[in-house]
Amino acid sequence: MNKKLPLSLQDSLFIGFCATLLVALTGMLRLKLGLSGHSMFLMSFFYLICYGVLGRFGSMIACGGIAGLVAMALGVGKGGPMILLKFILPAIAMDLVALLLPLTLGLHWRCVILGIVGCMAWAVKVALTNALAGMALDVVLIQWGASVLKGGFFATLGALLVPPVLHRLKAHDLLHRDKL
Amino acid sequence: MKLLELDGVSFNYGSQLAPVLQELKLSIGAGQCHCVSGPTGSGKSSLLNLLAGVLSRPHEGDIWRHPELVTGLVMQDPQTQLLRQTVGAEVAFALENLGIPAENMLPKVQLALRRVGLFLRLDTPVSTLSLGQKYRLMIAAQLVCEPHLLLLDEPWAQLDDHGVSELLAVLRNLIAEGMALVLVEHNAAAFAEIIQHYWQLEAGRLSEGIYTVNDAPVQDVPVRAWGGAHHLGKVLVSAEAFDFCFDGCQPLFSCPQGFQLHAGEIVTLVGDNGAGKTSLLKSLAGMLHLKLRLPLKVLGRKPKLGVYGAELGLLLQRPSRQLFETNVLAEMQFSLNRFELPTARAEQMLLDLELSALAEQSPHKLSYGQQHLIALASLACLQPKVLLLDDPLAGMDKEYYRKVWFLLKRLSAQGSAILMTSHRLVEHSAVSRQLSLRQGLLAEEAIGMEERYVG
Repeated sequence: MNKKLPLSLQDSLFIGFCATLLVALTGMLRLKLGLSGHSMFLMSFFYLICYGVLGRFGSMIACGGIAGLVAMALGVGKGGPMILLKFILPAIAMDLVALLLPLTLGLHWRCVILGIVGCMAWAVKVALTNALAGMALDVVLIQWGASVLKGGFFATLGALLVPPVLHRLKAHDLLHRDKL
Repeated sequence: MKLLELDGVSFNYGSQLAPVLQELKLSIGAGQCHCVSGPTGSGKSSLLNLLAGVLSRPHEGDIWRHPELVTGLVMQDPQTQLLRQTVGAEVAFALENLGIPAENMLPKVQLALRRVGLFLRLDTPVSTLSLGQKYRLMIAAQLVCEPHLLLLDEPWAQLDDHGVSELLAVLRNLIAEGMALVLVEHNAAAFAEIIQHYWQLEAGRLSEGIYTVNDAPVQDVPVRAWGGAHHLGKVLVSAEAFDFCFDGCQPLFSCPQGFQLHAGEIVTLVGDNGAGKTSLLKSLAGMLHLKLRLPLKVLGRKPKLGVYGAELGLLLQRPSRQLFETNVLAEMQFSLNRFELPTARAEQMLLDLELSALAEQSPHKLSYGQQHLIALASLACLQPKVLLLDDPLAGMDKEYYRKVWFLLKRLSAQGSAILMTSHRLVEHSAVSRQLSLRQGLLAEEAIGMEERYVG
């Protein structure tokens, strides 16, 4: 009964669905809010939904990888090939940190921590772009810090939406895990 | 020939939850007809899903299937299984998914429809079929895959007597052709002529026999009114003579005499599937907007959605459509919060109905009958002045019947006017009057009023 089930077709389709919806919403909304980091809202939400639903290592990386490839192919967002990094770096960081987080920690806290970790990794891509553009190192670091602060706000918002959604999915018998 | 065998099969919906099925042993052979009965919420539908192989959760024990076994499953609620707009497309749906070439589909679809006695054009819209026809269409959509085992979930509750007799004829032929059948049914007697093996499922255990509850007269719990006002006899719903027709269609039925609903009475509206019972209830609740306005008055006003607040309740035929919270208690407290009524009523209601064990469970995971009762209890908490119930007794065993009637009698004592639909005569002493909707005519029908009021 406790044997880990293999990744089912249903799980794979769910990851693909989240990745596609993430890119589609990012592309469709094209929010011109003038606020740096607002893309972290959707990213943290969809990655954490994958984490909560599948509960296995690699689910967020798979979602981020697919989203990055789709976004690159469709030309969504700024950055050309760097868009792949934008999507996959946060996913890798979140998946790795998720391994370290104790399951006894409340779901809300886990989601917020992972969202902020994802945001920090996302800001690395911003820093890398700035460094490639020839920006001085101290300015790159200041910009990175500013991105973490702004993106962290949106990432936290997205992360806080995840637990109620997961509880609702569980109530509808769409999650087959005993504990979230 | 043995088709399927369960040996020591146990199943639950979570390791921390009580097992639904325990140590089940069952063997099904070709041409056999098995009937499983049991209390509401005992896991009968879960057993069918397990037999059909559609449960993705792990189970314990061994399930042996014949290597070439194909199973067909017809679920409890026809509306959830019909996917397409036309009869032909619905039956061909499985074939399309199997990648059968289009030219090979037509004879298979026609044969499947013939086997269930549906001689209709393939482009007939599904929405125009009666529930009995829809049920046979669902069977045809399974037969097109040529299953060896057909699983049916509570057909009697959904069909009127005509629909049941149509279904019986189809099932008799299928058994004669060597198909195995498993029926889950509260009313096994309705299918007695085809059933060979009777099983009862109680507390997760499957044993031979028919499930029966204590048929001795149940000592009703004393009805305690919350309000206790003396308002019996006041007219709460009235309708003058009218013809009911959807926009641009022929009249579905006419009501030459009109009708009234008084405070404190329970009135049944009896008619076959597709007669227009649900449409009338929706019109009374203001959910149906027709160009030709009906001369209806509910609580002194023309029906309009949202104007009645907690004074009017409507229980839909599909309870799952009005359940949305994550647990039963929250579900029952939702409307109480909305109308600023005491939320303690919800807990008291669960206690009165002996359903406190369900309080923390998700309403979406309950059985059809349990969902019906929870949806009804949620409405009853509001103590509405007018309560409209669309087939509230579907999918319930006798124990749940008793709970429903306890609720209705209590509401009636509080002065609620209750109108409930059914496709069969409702035989209960609490019923005050009966409206009959047959052959396009809505009229009051005598049900031995003296007997009703004696005692």
